[in-house]
Amino acid sequence: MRTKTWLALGLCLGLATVALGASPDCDQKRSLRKECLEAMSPTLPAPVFPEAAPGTGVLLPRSYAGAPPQIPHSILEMPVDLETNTCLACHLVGGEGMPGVPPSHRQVPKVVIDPKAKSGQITQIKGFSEVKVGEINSTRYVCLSCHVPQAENLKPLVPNLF
Amino acid sequence: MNRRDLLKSSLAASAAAVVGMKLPLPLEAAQALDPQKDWAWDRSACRFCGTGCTLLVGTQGGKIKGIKGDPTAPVNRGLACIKGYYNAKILYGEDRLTEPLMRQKGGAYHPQGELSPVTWDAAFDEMAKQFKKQLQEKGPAGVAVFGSGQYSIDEGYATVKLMKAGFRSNNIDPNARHCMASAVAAFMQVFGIDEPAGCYDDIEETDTMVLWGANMAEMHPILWTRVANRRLTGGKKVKIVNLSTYKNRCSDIADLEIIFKPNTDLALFNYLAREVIQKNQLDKKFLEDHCVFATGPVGIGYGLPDNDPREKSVALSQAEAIGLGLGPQGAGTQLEQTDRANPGKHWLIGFEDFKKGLEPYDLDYVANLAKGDPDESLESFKKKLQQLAALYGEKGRKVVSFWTMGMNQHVRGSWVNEQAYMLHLLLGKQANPGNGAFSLTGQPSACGTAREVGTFSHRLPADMVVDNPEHRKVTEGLWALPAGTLNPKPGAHAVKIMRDLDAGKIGFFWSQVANPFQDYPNLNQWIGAAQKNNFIVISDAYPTVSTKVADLVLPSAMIFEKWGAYGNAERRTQHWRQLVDPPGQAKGDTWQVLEFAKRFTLAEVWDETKLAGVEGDKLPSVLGAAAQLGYKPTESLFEVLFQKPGQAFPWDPKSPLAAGKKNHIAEEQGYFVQQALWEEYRKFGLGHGHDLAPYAAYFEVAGLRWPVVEGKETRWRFLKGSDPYAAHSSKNYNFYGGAMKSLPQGDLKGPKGPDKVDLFSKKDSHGHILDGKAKIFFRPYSDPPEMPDQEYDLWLCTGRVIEHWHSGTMTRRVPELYQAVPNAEIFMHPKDASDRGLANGDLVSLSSRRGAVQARIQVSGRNQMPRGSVFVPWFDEHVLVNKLTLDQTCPISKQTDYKKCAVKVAKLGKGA
Repeated sequence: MRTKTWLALGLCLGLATVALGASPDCDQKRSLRKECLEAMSPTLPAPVFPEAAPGTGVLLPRSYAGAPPQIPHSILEMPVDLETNTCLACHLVGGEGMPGVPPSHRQVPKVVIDPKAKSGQITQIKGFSEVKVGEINSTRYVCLSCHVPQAENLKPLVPNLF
Repeated sequence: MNRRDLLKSSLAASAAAVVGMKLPLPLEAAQALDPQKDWAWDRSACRFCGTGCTLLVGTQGGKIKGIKGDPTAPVNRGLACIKGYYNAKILYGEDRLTEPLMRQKGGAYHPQGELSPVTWDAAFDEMAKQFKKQLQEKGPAGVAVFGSGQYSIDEGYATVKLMKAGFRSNNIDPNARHCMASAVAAFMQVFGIDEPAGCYDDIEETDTMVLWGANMAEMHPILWTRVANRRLTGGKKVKIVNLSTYKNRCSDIADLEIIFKPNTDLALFNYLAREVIQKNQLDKKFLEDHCVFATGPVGIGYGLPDNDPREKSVALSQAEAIGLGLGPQGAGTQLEQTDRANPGKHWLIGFEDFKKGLEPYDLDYVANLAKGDPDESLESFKKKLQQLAALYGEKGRKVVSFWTMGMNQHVRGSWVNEQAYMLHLLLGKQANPGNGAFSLTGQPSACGTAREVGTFSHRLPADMVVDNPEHRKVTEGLWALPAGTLNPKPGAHAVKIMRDLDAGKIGFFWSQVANPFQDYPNLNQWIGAAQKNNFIVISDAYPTVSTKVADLVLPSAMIFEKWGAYGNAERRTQHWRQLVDPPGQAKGDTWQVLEFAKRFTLAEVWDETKLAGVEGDKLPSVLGAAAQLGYKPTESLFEVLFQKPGQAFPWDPKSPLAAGKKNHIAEEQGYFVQQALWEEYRKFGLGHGHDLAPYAAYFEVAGLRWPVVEGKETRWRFLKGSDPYAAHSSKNYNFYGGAMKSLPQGDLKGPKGPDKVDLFSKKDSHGHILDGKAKIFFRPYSDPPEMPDQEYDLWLCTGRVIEHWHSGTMTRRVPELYQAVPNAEIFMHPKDASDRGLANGDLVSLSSRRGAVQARIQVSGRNQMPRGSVFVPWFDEHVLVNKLTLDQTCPISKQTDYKKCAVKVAKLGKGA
């Protein structure tokens, strides 16, 4: 239950507003958005994504060992669909400056159905088999589920102390 | 995908060029170093979506160092998605809330003061004072808790017990109301019991996966990896169909994409049902043994405010008139909204009446109504509908239909959910391996907590409801409450809570594990409501848009900082241990609930209290009955509701169950709070089809799917040989859910006579239904209350992106996720943009009758819109798109429709 000022922008957009008085306002110190909720946001910078052609991007540092690597090149016009997977066209094996899919992507889970399991868990994963180099487990086919490009012109909104 | 397939692709040459090349050296070197070798790995669940992946969390020195998918997990099988991996970093945003903040002036609470630090004691003292003031003035309807589908199970259970038993208030409702209430309503109406019959094993069993308003590629990414795998490895028969109001990433690996107009899924289902009947593809034995037909009233409104003229009557459009069997000449007929008060009532009809209802839904009518892409030809669209009907109807073809928010956040959400079961039941393709209408849920514990615990304004644990005297009696017994403690009147659902806050009927509002001032529809009105004479408490881990309008902010521990449990969309319950300490003074939500409960004596809350709408407009005192149970009026709610029943569960840090982990809540409260709550809670479901395992059992495996009977999980419910509750039925299935199983009979116009029919043969000595039947509903097409017009000329659909979770409070603080998708963009058809003089990347104003935001235009990328529609994700607190959405709900489920309202776009300025 706070008083606040509706900003002029809201008024000129013709919104139903009630001016209840001057500040003190909402909490402006905290949160990612510094403005009060009635305001429009300031102009947001447009993100700039890497334009480097595949094969020319510089590998980005991983956040931690095991974190999926990010994509340091343009992915425009690079479909992953039933016809083709442009990511795997290069990365399935990889090469110089072009990481190939790691062994984890070749592992295929062994599913065991055991209605008598002591743990009570009927559907179980009992280890993995491996497909040969040059193939992958098809659950890994949709690359963008884990790997994404990064806007190059933006700093984090708040530092992350991880 | 193997090498042979790849060679077929257009990039074969490029792939061939790299054959035989070695791994780049830096990667090999990195692997040799193995920084993971000193990490301890513990099992936990993912913080995000309803898929319910099991994670291994790597810790070292009291900090999280990394995440990997649990290789023993039946759900995710060693994988995690991009958000899943960054669970590692969500705890570590620099601006974590580490101490309570209260709006103060001169060292005391003041509504116009500034948020500034305060001790927990002072915070709870002020909170209790404000709560008591409202309780005194307004009774239990004057206070409210807004909860979450992201509550861990113990948190939701403790809160619902404190509210419903302690404060005798049913004003608790979760953000899950906005998320899957329509799914619940349809489960209850069709099956008499909540949650899916099937499980994720269906994906590997089925031939056909049909998505209805479920962008699984982004919203259930790991389930999508399994769907993709099934499609790519399952042989030629396996097909994916993507039905959506715009092209999304699921279309990339779909065999058939159908773009339809918002709300016309209602007509599409009826077309499919009519088609499979005409082609004689019904499973007649299944229908005879297991199904009945039903329908309900049409004039039920749209969940808009009572004074909205559309809640009184509307003139039928031509499409609606045809769909109601009135023919085109019925257009303009006034439909009176006479059944707003009881929109979910229904009655049985005969098969002939059911067919009569479907009769208008032929290919011409439905295709003309439903075609959603103006640039697609009618012939092409018709052909697709016929292909879809053929897939559903093909004898021996297994079909799973998945849906999420497209059908749940729908002004006729309960109806359209029921229609999915209608189609599958007609075909006998329900509740068996690889066959079923499968409602996916959005949040990590929308099922486990919101639904199963019952943190809704009308619910109690295990599908029970407050307005059923038997259910209250059972609950009062299990909670050791004086008879008559529980309030029989359903409380305010989520949207009503805000309306009541705005109207001054609710004066105290506590939000837990949610961000209501970003996630509610029609936000501007509620931002205004927050500034009125009321007290708003926000518990959260980070400052959010909601904390901006709070009077009191409580710092919460996050997922890996406490013991907890989630339940996912396939009935799988997963528990985890505390792995790291919460920062500063942050505490788990259960701790907050227990501490708050210490501030209330029985005398303050169990005496007679006012409550409009019940007998005598008051709840009687239960203090006398409480004394007979041995409770003293000076005892606190903490002692009576939590501590006494908790004494049987001491916290022993050296026990095998503790496994050397800390438990900040148990250590401070003096007993094993989470185990005590769990063991009490699971009594509600034992023997009633909701059986959960003993606490310790869940720490041995990556989750178990309920009902867990005699130590075994259940894969397909209702199916003999799979579900123990179907074992004693004389037929293959037993739809044993007990709710709404006795109904009057009538025709499409209404019920005739008071006689009721039981939808089961008998009940056994335990009260279990034998030979229970499911209901097949006829539901007509209906327009939504707001559609594009001359001024507001575009449909707006809102939703998520894979990189961000809900309102972005966690994921926008992870640099990698922020930089992947920094801000919400307006996805728009290129021609819609150019017609308005706009280019890709332009900053524009997007507005509706309720508010405006500014954001950039995106004419390509992951979502490709048909002309006439825009999509804006809601994760971005810089683009509060819910200022535009309409607070319309499904009248049965009270779930908001966030998927359709009318907006316009205007140019602001170019470039950045």
